[in-house]
Amino acid sequence: MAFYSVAFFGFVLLFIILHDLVGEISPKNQWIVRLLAGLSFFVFLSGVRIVFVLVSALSVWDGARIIHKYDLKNKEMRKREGLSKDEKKAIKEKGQRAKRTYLLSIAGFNLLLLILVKYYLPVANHPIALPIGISFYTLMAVSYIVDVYGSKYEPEGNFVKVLLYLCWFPQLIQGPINRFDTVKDDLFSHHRLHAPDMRYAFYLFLFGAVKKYAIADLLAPIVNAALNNDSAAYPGSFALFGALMFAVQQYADFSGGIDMSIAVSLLFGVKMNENFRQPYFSTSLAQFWRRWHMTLGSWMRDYVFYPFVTLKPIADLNKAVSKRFGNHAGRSLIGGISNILVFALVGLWHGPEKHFLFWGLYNGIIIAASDALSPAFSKINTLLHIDPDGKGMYVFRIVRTFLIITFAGFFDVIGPVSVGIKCFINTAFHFMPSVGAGMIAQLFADGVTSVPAVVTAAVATVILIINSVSKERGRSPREYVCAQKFYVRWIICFSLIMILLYSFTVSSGIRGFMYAAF
Amino acid sequence: MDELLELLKDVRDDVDFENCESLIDDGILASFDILQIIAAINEEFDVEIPATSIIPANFNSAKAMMALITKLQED
Repeated sequence: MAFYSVAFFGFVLLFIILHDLVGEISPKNQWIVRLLAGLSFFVFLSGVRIVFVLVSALSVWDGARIIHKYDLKNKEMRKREGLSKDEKKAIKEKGQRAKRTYLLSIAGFNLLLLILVKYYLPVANHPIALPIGISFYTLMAVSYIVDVYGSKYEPEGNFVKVLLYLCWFPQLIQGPINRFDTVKDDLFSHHRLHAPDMRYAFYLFLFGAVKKYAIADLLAPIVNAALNNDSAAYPGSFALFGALMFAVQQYADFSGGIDMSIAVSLLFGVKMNENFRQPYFSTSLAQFWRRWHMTLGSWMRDYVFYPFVTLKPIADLNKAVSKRFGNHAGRSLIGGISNILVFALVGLWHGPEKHFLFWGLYNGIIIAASDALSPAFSKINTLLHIDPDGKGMYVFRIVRTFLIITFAGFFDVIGPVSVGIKCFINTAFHFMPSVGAGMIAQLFADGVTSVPAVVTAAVATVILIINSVSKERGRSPREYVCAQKFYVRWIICFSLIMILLYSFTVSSGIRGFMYAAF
Repeated sequence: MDELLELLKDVRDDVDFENCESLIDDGILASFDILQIIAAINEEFDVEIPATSIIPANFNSAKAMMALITKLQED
């Protein structure tokens, strides 16, 4: 069920009406409609495999309660009179150990389920269709139990509320990876449809649809023609052209889809977590990862990077290296190891294929290296009298970061890693621009793409860039549009709708979301 | 408190931990410094600072860090 489908439209419409009706009759129970929507969406798409989300929800709901009870009991025990300091400490340590064992087994169980269906079964040649959203809700389940373990918030007593948190339908297609404490108030309370929210949701959905259908889907055939298993034989210019198109396609596809998800969720009063902040304006790859797929990045930071770096053996290693070789060496080494680990996981999260791991390592190694080399870079800047905060340097950094991400596309899209590497080499040594230009022209001749399709995608991309630049400058394009006279608003709105409708007529086919496959 | 200040000096000897109240907000400590500090505190004070406590308010000053440690020790 895709966003453009009649089935999805009917589904959302039905539940919005139901949601509003129940909200009038029994505001307290309105959240149950949201739960029903989530469960029916799940069953609609994954049938009996709904068992997976039920089991996950049950395990973290119960696990979190047990951990919390353990905490309270342990505190009580330490309050008993006549205990010496050492005895208190012993009780506390015993409690900590038990708590940690429990946490690790529940979180491990959920991750194992994910590994089983996403990695083990396909590799063992028994692939089953993934339960919808499992890559997203598993991480959400883990974050919930870890947060309760860290006493960030109290556990939720009601099982079905935890279930709703995990199976809230707009997030199942491609995220965002929401956090319990940021969505729970919205998820469980009563909402009335407000005109301004509806208007915002409408604009957001429309803009997301333009990104997805007028940019990503129109560029997809070009990307597929340029980046595939045969790419090793293509001139570097053509492969690079494909990677540049992919950079645009990927952002338009993923952020457009997220815009639509957030918009649909807003119609039910639930504000989900933001996933993008103009990522292509990043001045470093590390910053890019704080602005692209933000909910995955922050999940990795909070639940992998922080715990890993503060592990005792790692901290000891850091101390030893820092003492011997200086602070910079210590942090470069530990930061580097942790970044490479995190990005290897980010790569694997996308799928079991080797090229994803390679793509993750490419990101991790570049971030680790740029950390380690930062003193050398500042020395070069001083030597060459470059102002690191100047405007020229700012633009240079953005372009450099964009190119690093563009090259990563070779590993992201192309299956065999060796072909990806060959594309790299060809870009550097066999650029052959005239042959590349000929191949681009051939795309039109062969009907892979057409002039109207490319012009539509280009117009939509220009609109997207204007929107991003103005957001980057701290303005709100949405508020600007909403503040205009009504006919200006309508002109903008109808123009977007026309672009969208036109894109359907020149499209070679509507595609699913790239991130729905992960 | 002296123990904490000493530990902080070990991580960064160029920062006035005693008086600064905005270590994070003013960008004096980089994120990696904080992780080093956490690892050192965990070991030195025998506590476990959970990832969920890694927020600016807890690390803006030595006083705030001490408060966090005391809270964790009492819990």
